[in-house]
Amino acid sequence: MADEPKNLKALEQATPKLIEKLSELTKRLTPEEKVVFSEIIESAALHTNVVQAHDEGADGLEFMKPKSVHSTTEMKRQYSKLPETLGLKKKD
Amino acid sequence: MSTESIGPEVAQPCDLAASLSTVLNGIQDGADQELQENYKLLLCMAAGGLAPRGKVPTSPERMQAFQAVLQSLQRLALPGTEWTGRPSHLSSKVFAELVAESAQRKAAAKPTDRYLLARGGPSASHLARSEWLGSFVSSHFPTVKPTGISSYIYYDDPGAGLDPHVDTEIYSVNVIVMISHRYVDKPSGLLVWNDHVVPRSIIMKPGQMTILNAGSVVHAREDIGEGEHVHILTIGFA
Repeated sequence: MADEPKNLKALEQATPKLIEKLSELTKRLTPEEKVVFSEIIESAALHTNVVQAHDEGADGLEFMKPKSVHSTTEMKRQYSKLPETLGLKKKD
Repeated sequence: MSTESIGPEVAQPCDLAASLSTVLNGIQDGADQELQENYKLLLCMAAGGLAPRGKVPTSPERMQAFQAVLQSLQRLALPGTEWTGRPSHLSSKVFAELVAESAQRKAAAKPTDRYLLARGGPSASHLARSEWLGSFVSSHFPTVKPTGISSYIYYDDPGAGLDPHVDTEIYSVNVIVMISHRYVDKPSGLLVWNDHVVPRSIIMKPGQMTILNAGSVVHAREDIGEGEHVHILTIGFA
């Protein structure tokens, strides 16, 4: 059998590293790339809010829907804030 | 894909998506598995937001963004070839057992997003761990092994479906078995985006399966229509 998936705590601890890399990346983008990148980040944040919170920690991963939503509430919170965190939030 | 020049100072849509995908791919440099999973989750969420319910993005920027997401995920692809059909080893007897188990498990299924989800039972587990299925999947995706994990998914109400997404590491390659599909007019399909913002639709008959590079290929269940019911079994390989 294949290896067991990593635990959610380890995934959560890696989220700040992703945000740090995204932040560095944002500074290197051309203006055209930044427009498109903003769409990616805004869409990811929006969809994170839309996806119903599914408390995977309670039931374990083995029975989870294959959709890649195994994440913690804190991860979802950070994903939904990404446009602000990266300075990409569109002005209202 | 052919592109037409629209001016020296304006990046071509495909070029822009490709260059952004290359930049995004740099996130993986020196990344551990958890960081890679975060990166993939971000791309998964973006795919769902850019093409909600499988709709093609509306603006050029969103199309480029979706294209960049698709290309970025493709860079994570396991080597292998998608396959759809009915394997000769899937006997009528085994399939009948899966159909019966699916019906029985539905009573305990949990509402999740826009579908019902139930853990696979003994019949599904037996298939998931069977030597023949392992060999068959390996013949299409040589690097994966069975996880032994399976789930039944039920789409029963109009509007039920699943937004574009990629799967978790335990379903890096997903064997999707069509258990039952009833419809009135037009059947909904399994939508698959390989490298283009317009998806392919795969319509499986009961007993057929699709072996999908699901951890890196964006896919979705098209919204089902009035009177339509789709029940599937998903079996994970990684």
